[in-house]
Amino acid sequence: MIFVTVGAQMPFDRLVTTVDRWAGARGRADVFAQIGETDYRPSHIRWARFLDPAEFMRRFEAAGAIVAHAGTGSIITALQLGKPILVMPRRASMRETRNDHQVATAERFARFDSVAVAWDEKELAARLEEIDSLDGRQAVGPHASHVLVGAIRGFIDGADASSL
Amino acid sequence: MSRRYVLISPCRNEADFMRKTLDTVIAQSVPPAKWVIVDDGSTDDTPRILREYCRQHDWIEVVTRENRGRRAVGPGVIDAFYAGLDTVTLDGFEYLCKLDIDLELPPTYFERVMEEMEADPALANFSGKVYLREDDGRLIPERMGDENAIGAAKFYRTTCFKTIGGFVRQVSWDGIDGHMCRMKGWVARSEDSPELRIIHLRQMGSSQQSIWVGRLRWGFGKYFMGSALYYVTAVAFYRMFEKPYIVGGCGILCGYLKAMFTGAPRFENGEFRRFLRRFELHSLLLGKGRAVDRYHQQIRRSRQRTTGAGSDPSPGSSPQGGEPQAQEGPHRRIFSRKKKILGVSSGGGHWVELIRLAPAFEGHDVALVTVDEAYRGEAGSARFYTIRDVTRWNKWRWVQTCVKLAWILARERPDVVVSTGALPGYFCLRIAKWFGARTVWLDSIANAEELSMSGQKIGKHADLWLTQWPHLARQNGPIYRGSVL
Repeated sequence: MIFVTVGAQMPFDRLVTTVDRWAGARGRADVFAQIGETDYRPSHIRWARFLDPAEFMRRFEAAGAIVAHAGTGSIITALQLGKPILVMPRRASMRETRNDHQVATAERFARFDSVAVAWDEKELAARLEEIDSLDGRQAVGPHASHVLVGAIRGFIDGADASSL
Repeated sequence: MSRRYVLISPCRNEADFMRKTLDTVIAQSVPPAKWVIVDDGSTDDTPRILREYCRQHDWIEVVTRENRGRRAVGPGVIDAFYAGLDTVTLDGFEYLCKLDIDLELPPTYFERVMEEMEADPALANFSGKVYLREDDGRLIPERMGDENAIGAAKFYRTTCFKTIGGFVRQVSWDGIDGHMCRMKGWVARSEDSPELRIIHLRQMGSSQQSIWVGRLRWGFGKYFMGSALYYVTAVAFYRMFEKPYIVGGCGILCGYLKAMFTGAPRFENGEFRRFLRRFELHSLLLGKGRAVDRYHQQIRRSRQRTTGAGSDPSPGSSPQGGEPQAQEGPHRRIFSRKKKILGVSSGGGHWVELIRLAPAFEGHDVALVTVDEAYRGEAGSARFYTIRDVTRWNKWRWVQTCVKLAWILARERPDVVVSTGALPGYFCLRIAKWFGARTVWLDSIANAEELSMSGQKIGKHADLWLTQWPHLARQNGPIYRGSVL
């Protein structure tokens, strides 16, 4: 089972069409995509525009692999659940987002073994071929780092920024 | 720590009650090192009584001013006070106290006051409460706020008295001084306890014509002090519901407006006025008690910071190192009190990052604000609010979202507001500052190349400004203290 998500804010047809075509070509019937507010209707995969968080989490947990835009919500959730994730960053030049922060996010998260990055549709199609062999065992815990938690706790308890 | 204190008492025609004050001061468990009584032109038996006590106690001194006719409540009293203070070298005294001479003090009054000061190094202007004694012996409290010492018995740490530049020679001198203390980093307050109950032997203000005149003067005092019109209007409205109904509140507002339209002089101190206006805004939004509480917490925090816990003389009371514990003395409580936290984020990654901060909020009273009702299930036991999402592109929605945020803040009145972005979090932090909250901005981990637009703009409005990427940390900019991973 592959779960595709593009987040709740904007559609990302470049990603969805690539996955849809790939699934059609490979005869994959186990793909479900959350595609956002778009006119595009996938023909080879099951899809929904939006999912409520409970349904989103259910699909996420049931999936063997995730394909997503390079949003931190998707990536962190995948890391948290120990799911391999293949991401493609949105591009500002294609009006898929306001700026290229997803490119930076993808670069930074590529250091995790379970995060694979495709920089364009061609690479995405190629990477989809290997998706079942992606390793998702490198999970992160459910909470922020001790350092960050400690700093914010200290601040709440009355310390000021310079002493943290 | 020295317990040497000097009393300075302006007095004029107090023969009826002054023996009580003199006797109860002399009988104090810790008596003053010196007492300067300024006879401000008395025409009754006052001078003879003063001579009598002076003869018996060499630490009592009398300074005599000539008769200036009518006695003025504000300036006259303070002029007389200064006539006494001018004869004293303050360096030899840890504390000084302006004490009226128509009071009856409990026997351990000054000892208790100094104990309070010793327990709380930030406390510098303190008193008990004033009561009137009815004919049948019942004590009736005189109304007054907890945010300042009473004018009749202003007990001051000498260092603080010097820092604030002493008293202003005007009718609102005993209101200005409390704010001035807070502005300069000192706590001013009064407290009711049996050992701190002062009996006022004459009804306050009864030496003047009427309640109406008293209220007009109150309004004038507010104007002189620099209070904002909207604030005085709110105060006047509020006072209409208590005795004397309607008239009391109207008197305050009339006094203020009259001073305003006649171009009466004002206390010209820009820093003070800005401080006062901010305090008044916080008082209206939070309630005065809570606002004062916040200011005092902040003062104690910064004092702790500058003096360092190591300089605290009492053993085992260091707030640092290990789990803080509740200790006696009001200034200890801030380290262990349960705080109200408001977490705010938009959806997607921002929300995921906020939820990962949960252990930082553990043990506190938490409410969360986000943009989608569907996240409620993930909020656990925290109270949950939703707002409409806003971005740079839908400006028409900003007002609606800000109004809702203000409403949530007014309801929650959080001590600390934490946001992981984006724009709704920026607005929330800005509005939260009006409510006196401390603020944390944690720029999303998604912003790895540069801070988000909101993250850049929030800057100094965040008391703790964090980036999750070490290479984005800057001197005078956001700091890096780990990430949500």
